[in-house]
Amino acid sequence: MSTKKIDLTVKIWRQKNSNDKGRLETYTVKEVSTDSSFLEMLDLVNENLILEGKEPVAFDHDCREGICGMCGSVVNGEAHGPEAGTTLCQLHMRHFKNGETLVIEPWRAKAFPVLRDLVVDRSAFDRIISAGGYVSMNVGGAPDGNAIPVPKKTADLSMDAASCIGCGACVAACPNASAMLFVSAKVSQLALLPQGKAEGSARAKNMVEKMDEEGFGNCTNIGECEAACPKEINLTNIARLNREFFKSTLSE
Amino acid sequence: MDQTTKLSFANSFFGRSIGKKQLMAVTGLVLYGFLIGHLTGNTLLFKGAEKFNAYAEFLQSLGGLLVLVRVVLLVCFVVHIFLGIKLTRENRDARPIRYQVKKDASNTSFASKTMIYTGIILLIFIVVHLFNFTLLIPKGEGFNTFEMVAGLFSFPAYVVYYVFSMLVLGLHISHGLQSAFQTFGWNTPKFMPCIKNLSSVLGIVIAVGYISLPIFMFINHGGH
Ligand code: HEM
Ligand code: SF4
Ligand code: FES
Repeated sequence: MSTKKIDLTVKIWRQKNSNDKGRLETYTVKEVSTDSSFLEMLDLVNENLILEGKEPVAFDHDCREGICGMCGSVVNGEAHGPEAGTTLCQLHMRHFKNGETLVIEPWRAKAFPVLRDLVVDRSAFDRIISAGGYVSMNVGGAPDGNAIPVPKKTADLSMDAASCIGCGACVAACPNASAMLFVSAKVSQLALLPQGKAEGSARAKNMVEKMDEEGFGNCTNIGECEAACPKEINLTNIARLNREFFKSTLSE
Repeated sequence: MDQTTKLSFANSFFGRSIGKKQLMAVTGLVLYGFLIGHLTGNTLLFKGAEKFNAYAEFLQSLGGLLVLVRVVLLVCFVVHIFLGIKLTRENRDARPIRYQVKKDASNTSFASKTMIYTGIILLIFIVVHLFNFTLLIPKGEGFNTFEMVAGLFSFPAYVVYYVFSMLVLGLHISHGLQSAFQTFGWNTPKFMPCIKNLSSVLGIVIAVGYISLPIFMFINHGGH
């Protein structure tokens, strides 16, 4: 594929701090290589802003290879942009057309307050994990883990759930700002394995309680989360969470 | 079980988002069951006045049982509607600042995103329906239920309004049934596509079934 250069108009959410009202501001960015990533395009916007003596746009990022879960914005109404199963850092500019206008907004949810520009506070996810997203007994090293046979299919399902990177796109895309896909992935990855089953009941109950407390919405089984998830976490995880929750309220 | 654990069960289940949803799903399914029974009985309208009136009298003769069924349905309605409105309000609060641009994913259904609107249209329909067919009608010895139904369905505007409401019902339950399965956690990759199809097909069948009644009555017994 030959490298092309495209010019874009970007409307980016600018907000000084969590008390500022914020607004969309329009910039033009020229000669963006179609081989570059979305974040590299934002870098270019920032270089221009710095040259003009203006504040660069704050946005989260770390690995830039789709595994850390730091990046993410809503691009033209789609969390992580238009490509399915792709984080913003892995989104190439070749998916955009010359002259296109992009509206770039932060994740919007009461539980994810905007800190600055496109950066939101996702510590609500950390607090949900602290409420039960772990195994508290010593399960030994890799050889000990392998001493308990787990069917390949079950192990695969657990690994699929474990691929959640905690980016928050599911919350951003959900019309109800519900965190059910994230919580269900974190409950499922453990609930499926023998080491995780022991505390399964308390886990589902406590994590759901925390999720509600943090102000996320209720799931209405729409499916926007699954469509937006860069790791393609499946809705069947939410069904598993629903089962686990029901069991836990009966037994705990 | 002492008082505190009882309270904590109620709180830890019904106080949680998933608990509320599961209660919503149970009540929805009870109402769904009623829809099927009600439609089955009412198809006797096709058989004419005698059969239909006999059915109406049979229902009245159930006495205590009829009262019980009505109470259960009323409780389910109230709980379902109360929770539907409560959940919707909580969901609105969960996103105080909306997106300036929002694009819906192509694989999500219209029905799933309009549950509160279709629900409210149904609520209005049900209240009007109860006043028209059940509450304001003095039903004594020899009351001709068939004539009453024929009378109501002789107004074209009423037929149109009824048909519209039943289309809305079809939308609500076409998402509702499969959604309830997901809410209970009865979702496996093999089984769910089948439930989704069943949910859509049953939604259409029930809506068409209910729509056929006023149209049949209007054409055959509308006095035209
Ligand atoms: C014949 C009447 C009705 C039937 C058969 C019915 C059935 C259902 C079913 C099966 C569900 C799915 C529950 C779930 O996802 O777990 C549902 C959801 C819902 N219903 Fe109804 N319903 C009826 C009337 C109403 C009315 C009158 C309202 C008025 C507010 C309403 C509002 C809702 C809402 C908002 C939801 C979505 C709730 C959620 O997903 O969290 N419904 N309904
Ligand atoms: S479930 Fe998907 S969208 Fe949600 S936090 Fe995990 S990786 Fe991100
Ligand atoms: S920067 Fe790590 S996933 Fe995008």
